[in-house]
Amino acid sequence: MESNKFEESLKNTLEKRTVQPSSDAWERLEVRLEASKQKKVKSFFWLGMAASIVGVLLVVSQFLNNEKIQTITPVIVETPSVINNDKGMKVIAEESTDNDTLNNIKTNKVELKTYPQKAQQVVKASTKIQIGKIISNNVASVEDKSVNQEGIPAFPIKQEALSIEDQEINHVVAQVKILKENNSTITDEAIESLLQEALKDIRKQQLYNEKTGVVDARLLLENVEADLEKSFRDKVFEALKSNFNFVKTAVAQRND
Amino acid sequence: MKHLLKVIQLYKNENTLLDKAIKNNREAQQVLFELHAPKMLSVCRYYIKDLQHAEEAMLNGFFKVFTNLKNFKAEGSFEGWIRRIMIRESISFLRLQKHIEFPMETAEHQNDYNNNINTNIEVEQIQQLIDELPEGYKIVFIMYAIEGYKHHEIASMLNITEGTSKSQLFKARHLLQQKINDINTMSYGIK
Repeated sequence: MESNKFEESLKNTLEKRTVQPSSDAWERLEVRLEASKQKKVKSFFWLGMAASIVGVLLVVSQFLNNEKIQTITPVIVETPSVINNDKGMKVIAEESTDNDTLNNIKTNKVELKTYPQKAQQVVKASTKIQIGKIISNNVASVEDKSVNQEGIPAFPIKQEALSIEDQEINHVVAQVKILKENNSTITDEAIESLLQEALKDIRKQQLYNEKTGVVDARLLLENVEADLEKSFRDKVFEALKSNFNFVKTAVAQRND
Repeated sequence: MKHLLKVIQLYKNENTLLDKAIKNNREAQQVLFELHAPKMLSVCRYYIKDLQHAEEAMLNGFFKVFTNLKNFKAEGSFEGWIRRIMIRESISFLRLQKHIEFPMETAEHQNDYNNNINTNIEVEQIQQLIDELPEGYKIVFIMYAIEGYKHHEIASMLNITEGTSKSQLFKARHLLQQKINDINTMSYGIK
């Protein structure tokens, strides 16, 4: 609807009008503006406070975390030592005895190899020669459970750990004796096979502790990995071999 | 030339005042308030019958003006900007006071509106006529006839349809015409 004269005149008349507000209008508005300003300042103040508190908390938490890490770090470092304290003696003992035994066996083997003709005498006079000494000492440790052994630290746990290997050595010695009784000569191969068997038994004992019923996960995993690696390698070789053969046959029969 | 210089001076002054007012300078704000308050109170008075209430709406409007002054873009005039704020404040005030009704009677858009009504009436009489209109008619009529809003703008501001806005305007005009005719009859009768 188009605008008309009447509305135009109304507009003009009304637009010319001004209404004076009450004298205190500005004061009332000023009070409200001041209040809102203070509110804003207050809110900014509280916002600032909250932000600073959050900041302080963050810094403190960061600091505490660092401290925690610092305190934990030595614990982590110490943990193995603690474990060593609990079981370690056993572990160290096992390792050392293992090494000792292996060395002994090796020495034994070397000496037996170097003096094959004297092997019989070595077994006979086991207390006199070096290997005899070690074996007899070990045997003695099994039988007497004595603490003071030559070349073996006097830890009771170690003694306990030694017993497994000692038993094996004892067993080997007994086997050698039986062989000696049956046959006049003992071959290197016989001694070798006996030692291999003993080594196998020792390994088995290490892997699985019958007393505690605990399987050494690390050793088992290593064994399995070694097996897998081997099989994989074998597989690759087999595949290569079969392919090579296939190609070879194909080349050879190309003219047939 | 002098007039032009005066306008430039005024514009410069207003810009300076606005800059200061944005920075919460109370004196600048007071100058702006005193400069625009009488006109704005008149605008609020179009919609709100009670002068005290109109003043309250105007103060609410100015509070919003000064707290949101940084949002004012110098694209349009400052007066136009505060005027729009005042209109919104007045409508909000009326909405708070009571539910505004926009009766939807079947209105025939016949143009029986007499363009040649005697306009020789006083401003107070005009205000009285407007005051006597129902709220819905009044708001749409002022927004359309006095403020120059379009129907779609009115519809969006009042949350009504354009059709409602048009019918409200039609009824308001019809009612006003009747009242003016009555006034004219009365005045002629007296004469």
